Amino acid sequence: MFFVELGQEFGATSDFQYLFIITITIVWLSLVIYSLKKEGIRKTTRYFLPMMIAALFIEASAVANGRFRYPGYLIYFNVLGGSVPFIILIGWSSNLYLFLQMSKSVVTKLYQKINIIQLLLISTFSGIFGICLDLLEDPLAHHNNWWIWTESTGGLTFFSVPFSNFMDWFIILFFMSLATIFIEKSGYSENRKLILAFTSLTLVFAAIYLSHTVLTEAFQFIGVI
Amino acid sequence: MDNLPILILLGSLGIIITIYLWITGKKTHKEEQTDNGFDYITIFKISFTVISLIYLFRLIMMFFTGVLSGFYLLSVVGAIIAFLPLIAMSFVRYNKKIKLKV
Repeated sequence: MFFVELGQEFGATSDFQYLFIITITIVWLSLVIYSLKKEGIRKTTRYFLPMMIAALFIEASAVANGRFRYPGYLIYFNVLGGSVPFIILIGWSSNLYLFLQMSKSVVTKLYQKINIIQLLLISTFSGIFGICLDLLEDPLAHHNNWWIWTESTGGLTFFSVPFSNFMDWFIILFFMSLATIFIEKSGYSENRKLILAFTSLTLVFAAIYLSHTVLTEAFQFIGVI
Repeated sequence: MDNLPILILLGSLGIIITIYLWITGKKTHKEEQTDNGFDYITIFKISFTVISLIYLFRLIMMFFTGVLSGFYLLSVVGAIIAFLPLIAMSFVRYNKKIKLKV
C-alpha cells in the first residue's frame, strides 16, 4: 500500500528543476525553524505533518487518475497507485503554514473576535493567497516540466494550466487551514490536539473530495471546466 | 481499488477516534492573545517580518526562474498577482486606522 521509490532520471526533464527544489527546501527549513522557535515541537508537528500526509493521498490519487505526473525527481512516495515526490509534500506543508500565517496576520487585524466567522475568514484568505502564488508557480512548473498536466482540458485554462487546479488549491488550503485553526482554538490539551490533527484528516479528506466533486459538476455545468 | 477495504477501515477509525476525542475533551485553557512571554503586538511584528521575507524570497525565486526560462509574460503577470498578499499584509500592518485590540 505504501512504499518509497528512487527516481532514475533525477533532473533530466528540466534545466530549472534544481531551482524549484532549492527554493522549496530553503522555504520549508526556514518555516520549520521559525515555527520550532515560536511554537515548539508539538505545534510544529501539528502544522506540518498532517498536511504532508494529506498532500500525499490527494496528489497520489490525482496522479493515479492520470490528471498529472511528476517526472525527474529523486525520492518518491507511492500510495494508491500514484507516485508523489517528497519535495512536493514538504512544499504543501510549507504552503499551509505560510498562507495560514499570512491570512492570520491580515484577518486578526480586520476582525478581532475569536469566533467561527474569524476562522472561516482566515481559511478563505489562506485559500485566496495560495491561488495568488500558484497563478505564478503552476504555469511555470508546467512550462519547465516540474510536473506535467496530462488531463484533457476543454474549459478555461491559465497558461495551459486547467481552472480545476486553482479550484483544488483553494479547496485544499481552505479545509486544511480550517481544521488546523479549529483544533488550535479548541482549548484542549496539546497532546489531544496533536492526535486530533491526525485523526481528523479523514473528515478533512471527505470535505475536500465532496467539495471537489460538487464544484467540478457545477463548473462543468456552466462550461468553465 | 485493492486498497479500498484498508482505506475504509482507516477512515472509519479516524472518524470514530476524532468524534470520541472531541466529545470527551476538556478545555484546559482559553485561547488568549499572548504567547511565550511576549505581548501580542511583538509577536505580530516578528511574525509579519519573518513570514513576509520568506514569501518574498519564494516569489522572487519563482519570478527569476520564469525569466530565465523565457516565460516573460507569465513572470510579470504572475509576480504582480503573487505580490497581492504582501500588499494586503502591509495594508493592515501599516494602516494607522486599523487598531489591534489587546
